[in-house]
Amino acid sequence: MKPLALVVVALLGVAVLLLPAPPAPEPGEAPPAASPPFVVCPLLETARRVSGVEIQADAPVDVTATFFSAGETLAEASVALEPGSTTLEVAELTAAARAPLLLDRGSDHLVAGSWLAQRGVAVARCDSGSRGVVVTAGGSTREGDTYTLLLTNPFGGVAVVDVTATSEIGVETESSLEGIVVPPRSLVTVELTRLLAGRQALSAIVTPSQGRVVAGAVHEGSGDVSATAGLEPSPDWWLPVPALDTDVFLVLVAPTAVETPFQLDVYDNEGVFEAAYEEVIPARGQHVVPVEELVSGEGAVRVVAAGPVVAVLWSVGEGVRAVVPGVPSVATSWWLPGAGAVGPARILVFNPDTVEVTVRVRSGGAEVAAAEVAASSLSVFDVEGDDLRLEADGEVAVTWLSVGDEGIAGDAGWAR
Amino acid sequence: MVTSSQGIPDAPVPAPPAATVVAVVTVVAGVDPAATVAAVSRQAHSPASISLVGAADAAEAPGVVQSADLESVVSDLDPSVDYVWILHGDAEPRPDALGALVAEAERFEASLAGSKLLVAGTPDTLESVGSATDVFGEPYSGLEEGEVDLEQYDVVRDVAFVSSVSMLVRRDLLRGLGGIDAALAPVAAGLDLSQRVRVAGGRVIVVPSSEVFHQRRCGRGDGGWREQSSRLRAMLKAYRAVTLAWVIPFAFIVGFLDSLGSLLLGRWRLAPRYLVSWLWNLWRLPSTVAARRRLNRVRQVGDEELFRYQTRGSVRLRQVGSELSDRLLALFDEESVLARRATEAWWSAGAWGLVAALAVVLVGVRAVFLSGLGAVGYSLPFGDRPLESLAWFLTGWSPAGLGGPGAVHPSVLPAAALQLLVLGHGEVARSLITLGAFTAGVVGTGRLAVRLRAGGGGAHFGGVVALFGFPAALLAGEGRWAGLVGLGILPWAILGVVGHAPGSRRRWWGVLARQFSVVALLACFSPYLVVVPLLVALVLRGRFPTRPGMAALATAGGLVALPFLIERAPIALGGIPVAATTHPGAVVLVTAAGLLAMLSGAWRVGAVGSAAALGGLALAPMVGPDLGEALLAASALGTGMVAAAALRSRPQRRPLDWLAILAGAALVVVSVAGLAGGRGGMPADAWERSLDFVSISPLPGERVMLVAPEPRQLPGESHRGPGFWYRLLDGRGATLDQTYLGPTTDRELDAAVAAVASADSVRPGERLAPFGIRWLVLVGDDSDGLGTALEAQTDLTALPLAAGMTVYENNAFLPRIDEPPSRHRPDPLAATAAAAWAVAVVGGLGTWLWARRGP
Repeated sequence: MKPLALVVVALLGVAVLLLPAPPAPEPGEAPPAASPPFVVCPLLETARRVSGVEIQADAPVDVTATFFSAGETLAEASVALEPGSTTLEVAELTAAARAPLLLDRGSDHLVAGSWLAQRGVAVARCDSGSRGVVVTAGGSTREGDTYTLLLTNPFGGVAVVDVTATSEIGVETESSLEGIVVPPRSLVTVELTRLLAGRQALSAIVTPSQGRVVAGAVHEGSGDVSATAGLEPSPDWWLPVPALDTDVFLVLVAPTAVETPFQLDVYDNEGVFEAAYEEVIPARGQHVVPVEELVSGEGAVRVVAAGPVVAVLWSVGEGVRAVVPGVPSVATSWWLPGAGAVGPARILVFNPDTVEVTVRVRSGGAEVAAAEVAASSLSVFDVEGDDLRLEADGEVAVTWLSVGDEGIAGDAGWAR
Repeated sequence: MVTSSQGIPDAPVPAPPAATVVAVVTVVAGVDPAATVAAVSRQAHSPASISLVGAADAAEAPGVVQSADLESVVSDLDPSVDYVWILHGDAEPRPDALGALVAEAERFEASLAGSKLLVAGTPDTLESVGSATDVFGEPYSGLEEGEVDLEQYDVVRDVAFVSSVSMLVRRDLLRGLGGIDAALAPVAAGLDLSQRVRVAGGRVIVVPSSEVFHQRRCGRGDGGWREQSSRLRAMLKAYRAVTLAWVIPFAFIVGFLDSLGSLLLGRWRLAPRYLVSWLWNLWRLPSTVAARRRLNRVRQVGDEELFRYQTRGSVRLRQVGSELSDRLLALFDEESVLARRATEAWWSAGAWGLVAALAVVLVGVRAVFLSGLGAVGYSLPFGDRPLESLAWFLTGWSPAGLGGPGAVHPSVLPAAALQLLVLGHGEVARSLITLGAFTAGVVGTGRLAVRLRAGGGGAHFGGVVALFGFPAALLAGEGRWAGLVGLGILPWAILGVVGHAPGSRRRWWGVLARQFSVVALLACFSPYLVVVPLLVALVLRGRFPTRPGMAALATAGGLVALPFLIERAPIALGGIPVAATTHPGAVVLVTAAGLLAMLSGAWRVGAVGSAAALGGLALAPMVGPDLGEALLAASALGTGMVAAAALRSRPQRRPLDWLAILAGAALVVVSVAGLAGGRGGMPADAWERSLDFVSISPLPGERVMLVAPEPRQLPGESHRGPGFWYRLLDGRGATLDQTYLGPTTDRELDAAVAAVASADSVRPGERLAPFGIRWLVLVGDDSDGLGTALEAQTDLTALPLAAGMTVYENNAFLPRIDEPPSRHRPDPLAATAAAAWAVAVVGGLGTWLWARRGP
């Protein structure tokens, strides 16, 4: 028995040594990242312009519209949306000079776009912001122009962001742009004109270090105004190019800390030119290319970069300030919130495929235009009305413009 | 030569003073007062008259006046009378007794003078030379039973009171005070009159030269209910209201503790006696109030004058404590270490080992009594409402989580009981339990080692290894306080079943009762450990004398944990296991020490200890948390036994023995690492202060939800959430009765938490509000968990309330107050458990003590 006891004890010791360590207790599976249940429209104002929001929904949905400022809720309204389009006039809901709006949509059955009118026109999508970096591209602080960055925090916690401005002189070193605190339910405006005057082309990279903000920018000058939401970087962009009487630039911004090589594939009347333009964007820098050097007439540009970048078309001229973002991917179904709100809409549909696609445009559920879009070509649909949506039987890239006496406004479509 | 009836030569008679004295002899039932009357008649200082009170049918004697009561005698006295000598009918004064009283009373201007009492029938046995009392009126003579009078107390002095057996009191004062309270028992009557005399400005002295022999037929004042009631009445009469305001509550507490202590000593009558004495005084309250009014009319001094002649504290508690400590020392006295004479004890290696091991315990748990244990892991404060915790246990209502029907961990029973005993101080109770468990564990392990023939100087160091070694460190690392306390009790539970059969049936019942109590206590803290004594008894059978039958019977003490065990049966083999990751070096060391201990002769102890140590370690991570905790505790004790076996005394030491001793010493040295924090190896406080913002002023029905990436970052048990772990606490913060959650979760809460985690709404506060969640606390780095989802929300306000945590206040908070437990009837299972506990505490200990007093 004694030898057996010795063996048993020794074996037990060996067993304890050899037994694998118990796995650490794991929590349940984290839920998949749902689309944010809200959108924020940071650009709304009532002081100098009229502004509003067009909400498009494809199912009955109750939303709560909350205007906030300086830590307070200025106004709150529950809106029962029916399928279709609903427009909120900001002045009817609040008298605040700047009145960012939180739309608690509860589901992803709706999209919204905001618009500004009087002394220029501008449109920009209402957005959910991002936990990561966003970029506002296509601004200027040249003489006579103002460029204002809007940082909104409609949420309950404090947000802190670092802003990196980049211009033709490279990355700007402005210490006051670091560690900007955006209190809960507040809007912080950063007057880049005052901080960085005289920049011909200026973009801003917004990097949150705590909390979450929804960023946007407003560029005023020469009697027009442009607005853009903060754009999430992507290595791939599609930019339908319209024929305009003003100077149009392709602005590329790389928010990363390394140089980012890219190439431009050009589609125009003369055919497809892959890698028609190749260059490198400096780290946290921007690159501006006149579109007329790339595209003959109408067409499209595809940006293929080695890293995440943001690409917009920036139109600057006499009485014109406009930014039209590209779209990072193609799709068959597009919503165009805000299109038609400031005038007739010129819808730019680019078919990157090698086969023809059929495109149908609807307004308020009724088809208002339909056409075949040839392979690798751009079609333009001039339509009026609100609740504009587009369906295609192939994947297309869609942006839109509104060209009027007060200026030009435009935005990218919202892929569904 | 004049001789008294006692046959003792009388002392020289002093010249009689001029004062006029009347003697009043109070008849004692069943005693012929003739001898007393004769002795009074023989006094050198002759009384002017002798009155016999309370003897309606006594034969008339020459010169003796019969009276109905003392009051009438006093009221009829001539103003020329200076003093009244009150004498019991069972007393026999020496002839010079009265003269001495009068002389000293005159000399010291005393209003009340008492005699030295000697026990009749003995030449010189002291009964009383005046007495002190405590503030509750409990007499304290300072005399030992049978103490001989060597004139060691022969000095006239002020005393708290003198016995009414023989007292000389000024006639005018006696009349003003209304005489002796006839409702009082003899000793208390003296106390009462003495106190009233002192309050009226008089002086109370004892005159040792006035000697009186006392037959003690009137009662010895040893605590009968009449004396106890009378003392209470005397107290109620004498003290000012402001003194009574604190004395009465303290008297209640003293009575409770005295009753409890006496119960442990096998004296059950005390509690009813206290009860009767309070009821008696309640019944007599009108007359007591009237007496107070009379006394207030002549009150000259404050209560401070009474306090001057009183002892500190409670005489009763001191006596009970002394008796209990004597019994307890006897418990630990396996090797007669503590009971031996000091010289012999300090030559014993076991004594030095014990002292050193206890010193290690003190160092190892120093923070427990210096700064408290804090709240960490499963070691949580007791809360402020022990009665509520007990009620929850009894009604089967668990306050954990959202609160609802469920079993409360049985450790709440002893915790709340002790907390009540220490007047509600939860942290004191918790420290006492912790300190007691570690001490008991070390001592018990040492004693078990001795009983298993592994004694010697290292036996108690086996206890140190058990309580601070690495299996115990694994328990402590998770803050498994209940498991550690269970570990402290475990060796005692095994001791009860290892040994020869008791010598008599009475003893057998006593040992069984004690074992039942110990097992019940063990079950309170670590329910699965209750089977260990039985297993050990079976395993050691044949090699050591064991009592497996008794072990099997005593396992019924585990009924205390029955509701808890039943509720948690589903996770007996599942759930989140205890963290039992061991250092390979430690495993090698235990294995080597076990093998060497076996090879050096301690085969059975070494094998069983090693098997427990290594088997527990191997199995603990494979089973549920409760069973794993018990296995680790068994492993810890096994490691301690291995160390004790390796270090045990040997008649001769071979090289192999030296190796074993070296391995045992290495185990001790490794275990010393557990002393570092001074909390018995448990981590520092993580939650007690962090949650102050919740517990300082909670709103009714509020809860706090704690979220962390890992379950061990949260207090007690937690639920598995989507990507994180979470749990709820009520407005009291982290408390013992909320440590363990039921095995099932609330589905609605789970759904709400999942919805919040999915960030499907900007108003997570609204989702959490129906559950009474006012606070949401994210612990540690939760950037990938719920913290992300909460970045975009509008109804939670982040507040900088706790370091290292993100605290949100829910702006949409709604109080959630569930049905109060008082509306529930006692749960049958919980009532069974509570009954088992009551049987263990009262019946078990009482029977055991009863058995110890018998043959």
